[in-house]
Amino acid sequence: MARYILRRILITIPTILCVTILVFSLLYITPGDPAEMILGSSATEEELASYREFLGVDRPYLVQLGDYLYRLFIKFDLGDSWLYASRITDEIKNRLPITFAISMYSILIAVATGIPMGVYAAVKQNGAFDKFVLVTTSVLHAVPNYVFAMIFIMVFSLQLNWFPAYGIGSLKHYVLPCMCIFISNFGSMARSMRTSMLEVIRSDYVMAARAQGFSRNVVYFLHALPNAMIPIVTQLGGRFAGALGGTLILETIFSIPGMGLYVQGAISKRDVPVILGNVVFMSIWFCLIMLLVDILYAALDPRIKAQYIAQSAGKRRKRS
Amino acid sequence: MSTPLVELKGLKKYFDTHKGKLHAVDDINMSFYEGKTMGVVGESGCGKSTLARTIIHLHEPTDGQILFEGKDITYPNRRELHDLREQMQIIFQDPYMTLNPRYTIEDTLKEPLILSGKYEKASLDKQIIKLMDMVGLSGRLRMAYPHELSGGRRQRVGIGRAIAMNPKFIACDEPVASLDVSIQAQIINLLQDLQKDFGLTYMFVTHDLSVVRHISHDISVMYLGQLVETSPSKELFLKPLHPYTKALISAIPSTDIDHPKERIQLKGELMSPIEPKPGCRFAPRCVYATEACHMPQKLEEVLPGHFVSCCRVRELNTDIL
Repeated sequence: MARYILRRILITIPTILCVTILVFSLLYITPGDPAEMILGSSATEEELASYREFLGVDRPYLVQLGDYLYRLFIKFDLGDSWLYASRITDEIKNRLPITFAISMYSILIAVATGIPMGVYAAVKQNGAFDKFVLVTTSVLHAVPNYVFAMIFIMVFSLQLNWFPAYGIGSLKHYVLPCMCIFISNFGSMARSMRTSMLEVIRSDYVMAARAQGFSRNVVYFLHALPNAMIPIVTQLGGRFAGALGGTLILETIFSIPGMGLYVQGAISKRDVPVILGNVVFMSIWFCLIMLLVDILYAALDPRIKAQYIAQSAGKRRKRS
Repeated sequence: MSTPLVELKGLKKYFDTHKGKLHAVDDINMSFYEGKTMGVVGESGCGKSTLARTIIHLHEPTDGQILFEGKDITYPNRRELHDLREQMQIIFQDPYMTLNPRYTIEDTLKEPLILSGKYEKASLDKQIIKLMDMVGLSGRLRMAYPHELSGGRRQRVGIGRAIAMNPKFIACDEPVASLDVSIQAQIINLLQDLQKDFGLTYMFVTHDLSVVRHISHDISVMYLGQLVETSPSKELFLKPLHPYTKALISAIPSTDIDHPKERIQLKGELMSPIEPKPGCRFAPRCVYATEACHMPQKLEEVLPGHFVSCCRVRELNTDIL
């Protein structure tokens, strides 16, 4: 198992490096002169040139790339914003906890409610509860979460005055944005759990287990659920990994000073280092979560673990 | 004759479909005698697997009776079902699909033993090794997963799981259909050895006549959910009486080149099993069909132990009857 984890980590490192280079290059080739954008069209040619030198964008591509990689991977520094005095690393450090909290709360609640509901709907397929789950999840899944955001603000803060409509501070501030993200996660979570569970319930080994004398419910929990969870873990991984980018629109609506609002502002003002820093940070985050999922996967599915053990045993035999 | 171990009386299993009731098993009478093998043959979709699963209580019967040692067990309660699981077991066709992919062989075999509550932790281990030995699996495979085994070995696990609690009756639902011919022979020999050692009663469901001929004492032929003929095994092959059975037997390839057999080729399609009309279900494909065949048919004992469900059986078989 330790070898498996080590190998996964070794694969993750070049992935992160490649993603960073790719994103850097993409932003490098986007047209537009940053100096002209910042100083305006009234600036003289000398002013522009000195500003370019100040930003460091006059240097050749490879030098800029090398400098960026050096700062990122050796000094863990994402650079400075072109527009503001604050360092990107510090900004992310301040903003990450807010976005992280919102996404995690809502995903965790979605998991805690969506998975049991999906399982129960599958077990009672075609029953009244199943139909209820199918209809509600379709609606919740189909309506974009910013629509819910608008409705919630109108109902719960403007009319009922229960929760604040914008900003972040007390726990109350988290309720509305969390509910919006929860809703979109919940729908798909319950649905895919239902589908996955149905598929496993129909499989022959579940019937075989029933022939052994287990009651239906015991078979479902002992035999069916662990097998049905495998695709859900994959999906959950994707959801956790994408969590930081997923709140972008909601942070704008609720004026939450998180990662989403930061990127959104940077994009509208073409603050390239900030965009770059955020995208690179999210990519690294994504890779790390996926690494975690892979490890969890092996723990969940003995076939994967057994396969790896067999592989490494084969290699060792060849070497000796 | 003594009382049968398992007896079916007018057993029915209908499934609800959006077009109407699907008569998968329709009014089956059958007797399984202790230590004997009853072969059940028929083409795919004739309800033979459904019959096996209904007897084992994986499906709830729609109507009729299932008797076990003379006791009515058609609708058992929880307690009774738990005991029945130890008495009646099933071996499935596809041993890969019916083994939990996340369970080692040991886990799979352990389950029925733990469930029965009859084994201590220490004796459990011994029992598993004994069980694996009985079905011809070497003990080193204990920690193997189903995907690491060959088809034959997987089926041995399936058999081990079925005999774990020392049942009296085992429904074998096409247990060799997904195996190579050489492995088929091994598995059939294993089943026969186990029968000899433990006095097991088998219901052997198959579509393969050469297999069923080898293993069965009696054979029942099914067509679209109904029983058309039951007879001692040898007699069925020598004196098939029902037109459908005749067609089946004639389809077995012969190695006797001096006496080439005449093949009876069936024409037409199977009728739909959904809300079928009363009367012989084989009639639309039968060359001998008359007006009388569209009336409900009765299973009739025409020779000792030889039952046929055909109203014209006597006039068509004047040479035998």
